[in-house]
Amino acid sequence: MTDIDSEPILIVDDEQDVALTLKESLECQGHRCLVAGTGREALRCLRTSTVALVLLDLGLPDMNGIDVMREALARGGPEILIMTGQASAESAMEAVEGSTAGYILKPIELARLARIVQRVLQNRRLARENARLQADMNQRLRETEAVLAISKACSSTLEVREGLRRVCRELTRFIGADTGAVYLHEPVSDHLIPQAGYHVPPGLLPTLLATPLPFKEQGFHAAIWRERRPILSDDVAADARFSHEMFRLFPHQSGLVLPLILDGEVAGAFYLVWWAERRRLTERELALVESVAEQATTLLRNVRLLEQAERERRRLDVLYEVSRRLAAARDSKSVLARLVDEASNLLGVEAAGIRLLDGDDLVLGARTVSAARIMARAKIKHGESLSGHVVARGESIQVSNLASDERFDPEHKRGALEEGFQAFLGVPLRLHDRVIGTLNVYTKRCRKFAPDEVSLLSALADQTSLAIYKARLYDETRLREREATQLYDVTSLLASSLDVDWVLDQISGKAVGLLGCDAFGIYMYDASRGGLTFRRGINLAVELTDNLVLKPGEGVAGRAFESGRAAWTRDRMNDPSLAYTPAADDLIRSKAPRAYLAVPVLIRGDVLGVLVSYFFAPHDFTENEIRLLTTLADHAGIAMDNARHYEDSRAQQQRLTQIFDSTSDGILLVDPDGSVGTANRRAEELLGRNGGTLVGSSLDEAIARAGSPDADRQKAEAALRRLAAATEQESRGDLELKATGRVLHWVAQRASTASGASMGFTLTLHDVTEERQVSQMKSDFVSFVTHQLRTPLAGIKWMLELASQEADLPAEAGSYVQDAQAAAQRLIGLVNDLLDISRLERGKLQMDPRPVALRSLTHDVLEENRLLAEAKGHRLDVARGTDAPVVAADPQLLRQVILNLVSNAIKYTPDGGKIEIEMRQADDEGRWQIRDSGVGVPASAQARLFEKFYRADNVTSMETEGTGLGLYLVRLIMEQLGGRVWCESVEGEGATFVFTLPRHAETT
Amino acid sequence: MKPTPKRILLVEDDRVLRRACEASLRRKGFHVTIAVDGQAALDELEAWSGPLPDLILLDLLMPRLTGIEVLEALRADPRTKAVPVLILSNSSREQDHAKIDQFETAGYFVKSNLSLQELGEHVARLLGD
Repeated sequence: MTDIDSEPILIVDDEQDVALTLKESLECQGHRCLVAGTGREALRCLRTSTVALVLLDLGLPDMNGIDVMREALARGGPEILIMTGQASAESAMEAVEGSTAGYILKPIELARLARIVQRVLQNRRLARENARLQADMNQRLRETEAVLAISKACSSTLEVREGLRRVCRELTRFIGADTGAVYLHEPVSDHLIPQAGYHVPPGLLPTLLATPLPFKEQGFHAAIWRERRPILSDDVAADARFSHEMFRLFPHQSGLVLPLILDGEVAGAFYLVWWAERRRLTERELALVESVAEQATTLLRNVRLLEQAERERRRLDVLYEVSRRLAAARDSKSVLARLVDEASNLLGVEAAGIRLLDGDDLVLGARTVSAARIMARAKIKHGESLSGHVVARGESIQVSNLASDERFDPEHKRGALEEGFQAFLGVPLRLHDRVIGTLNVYTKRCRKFAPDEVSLLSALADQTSLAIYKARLYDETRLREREATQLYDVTSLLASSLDVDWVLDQISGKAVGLLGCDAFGIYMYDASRGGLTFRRGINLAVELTDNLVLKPGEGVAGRAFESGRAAWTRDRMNDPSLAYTPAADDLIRSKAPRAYLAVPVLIRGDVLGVLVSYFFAPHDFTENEIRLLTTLADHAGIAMDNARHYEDSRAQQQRLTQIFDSTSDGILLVDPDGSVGTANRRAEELLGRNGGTLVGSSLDEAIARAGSPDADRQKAEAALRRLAAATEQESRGDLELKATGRVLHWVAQRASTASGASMGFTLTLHDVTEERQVSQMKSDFVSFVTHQLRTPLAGIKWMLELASQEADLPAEAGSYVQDAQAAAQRLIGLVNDLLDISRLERGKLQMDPRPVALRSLTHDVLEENRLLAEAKGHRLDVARGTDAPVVAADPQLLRQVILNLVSNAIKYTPDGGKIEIEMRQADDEGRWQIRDSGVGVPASAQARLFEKFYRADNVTSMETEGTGLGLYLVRLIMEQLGGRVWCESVEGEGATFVFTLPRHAETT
Repeated sequence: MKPTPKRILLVEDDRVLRRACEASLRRKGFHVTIAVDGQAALDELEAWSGPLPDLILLDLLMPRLTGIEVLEALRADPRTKAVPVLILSNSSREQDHAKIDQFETAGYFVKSNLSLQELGEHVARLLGD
């Protein structure tokens, strides 16, 4: 729009002088003027120039002035001022209707015209200004609306693509472009990726959306993205900056690149297209589109923040989920399998795998099926290939083009290329600040992994490490538990069977289970063949087991045998150190598996044989396998040893059984519950049972059935109960069996295991029927003889007594009578001793055990012997003791013991000797001793002193009256009373006789 | 006035013992009646005139009736039931001892282990002298 003041005024009048006058006058006023003399001329002027005002004479020669007016108005509105000669109402009407500025009557008053022109132009200027202001206001309103719409578009969605599409739409509309598209920068590929378009011709849309724009590609066009400000071209085809083929794909006239700058980086861009228009943008428009771009950037920022938060949340979700699933999987195999699946899902990659450090090796932990060729090797070295580098550096490694990576293992690289893998990301697995392996992902896309992907994988790696650690602990525990269980089974088997082959078969089975080996063999040294021969095994070729003889040192087994230590080979085919004889070599080559582990079977340092575990493929034996097999070998050794012992003890048992059954005594082993556990044949005969009916029955019942007199039975039962209750060690007695008419002497002894546990007792039955008959006869005889001897002896004694009382007996005769009396008394004593011995020997002496105070009993005896002692001039003392033992004994019998010991001391101590008696309590015993200063007892005689009729040499030479019965009687009585008696002496220094008796229960 | 001497029935088959015992007891002032075996003892008591003996000294092993049988008879007879009996025997047969224990007796002595002196003292004590 041009300035009104520069626009000419057209004067249309056929009166030339009028026209010139007006022109001159107006030009004087500063107006430029055109003059047209005819209608046609006027119209030509209107056509070629923008005219501010037309001074129009209606009366024209060639056409009606009204027509000119209409034409002028139609062409864009100059002001019309009608000049007319006659001011009729009609013409005035026409002027108004023609929307003229007014009319002026001829003749024209120049001053007035000047005022009118001034006013008309002023009005025109005002009108035009108004229009401009109006348009400007409308424009601003539109802009505001557009910005509002864009702002609404931005805030209405956080879905970036949709948000950008809306912004694009509003921007396109607002700026008046024909088509718009929006791109986002993708940092991994460094491309601008199309996101959305607006008003894109349908045929073009797929191409547009499928064509990413390289952000940093060589070429001029790269600059337009990097300018970071709007770039407009109104002739794209000719613009060198728009060199990318995309701009040529759809020819267009004008294009605007509007970059989206986020945090100083290009985050994306709008591209607006005018197909035909050569578009220019005012500064205002540029400022506006930049502000729109800023708004869109805010949208992007918000969206990114949201996305980041969302990603973070998802990552946490995923990690949580992963950790949950890992927690559910406990053994390390399934943990690892899960982990690689999770890793590949998490990063959207096609393959993943884990390698774990084992010594210097990185062994394959798990891999997705798709990783079979890119992680093909079971083991790689620390520092080798990509995994090795990750572990060695302890940092993540990213490779965007595997084909050109020099570190990648060639075999794996070949696999990767053939399968189309391009990029790699490996992160170290760390546990307790130590790198334990690597977690790798592989993708077929050529891409860079974003930092958050790396951190996600690292987070997964941390979980992996913990999971592996946990799973390893679990595995270890499970393994140990399983091993322990299996070993326990083996131990139980050992205990359960003495069949050595059976046990060896079990060991073979367990070995295969525990070691997971393919075959197993147990070889024993066969001295007759000079080598190891097969004993038992699993899965070995018959030819091998039948024919193989391995010399000591030959092969793995021979080596283990010779060295007494475990020996193994990873692969016998590739182990030149193994030496075989040709025969064995042939067999081994054709029949034996590949990897062997052999451990010796040792018993007390002797190698008996060898256990060999086989794998059909080369195998690296672990410490644990060696340890397990060694344990099994120990068990095998124990089994063989047990079997040997068992054979020995069975032979022994057979001999004992023969003896047991052939003995003339009945022998029973009675269990603690009183039932008969074992009985020999003789025991069955004696108890009148047969056919093994005795074993298992109760002993009481067996005795009752045999029909023994109640008294016998009760006594036996009571004694046996005491034995069973372990209150006594031994007991004995007789049983008269009515059923068989036999008399059995039984001896029961408590039986204990080596550890002291009660096994009940053994009962020996000795048939004393005949002995008893003989004994009865003897007893009758003794009674008879005793009576027959005593009667005359009593006669002699009494007659001599009467004789000694005769008042007139001559002194000499009196002394004869006295000697005769002493001799008679000795004879009576001898008869009494014999009788007592006879009774004691037959166990027929009446016992009446009760508390006996040793001190008073001793004093009584001493009192009786005082005269005798005084006659020999002995000093006879009882040592003053602090205690006076009370023992359980028959007082009459104990009196006999003390009497015998005292009289012996008096007798065998030369005149004027010293005799001292001492009593004391010792624990649960009463101890009594008498020490004399006599001849003493030779050491050789001490043991025999208490035998019947035995007399030591040194007393037989003395003039004494011994019979050799006194100490024998003492011993019999002491045995009967449950005590002990012995002699302590050095010959020539006197003797000490000691007896001990159980203290009376109530006084202990 | 001298008290009436205590009466003792001495049952003993052995002549020597009978004589020694009788002599000894008479010296001590007892009135001694003699029976040479068990049957004779019962006969003697059957024909007893006056108060029954204060004490019977009874041997065990005798012909015709043994001391045990005599003791049974004495204890079975209400007349003689309460007469004290002192057993003087040389028997060592356990069953004799067992049987004697069934009856109430004044004591049991093995003759060869007993002096006349001791016998006299026992008798005197039994008869309250």
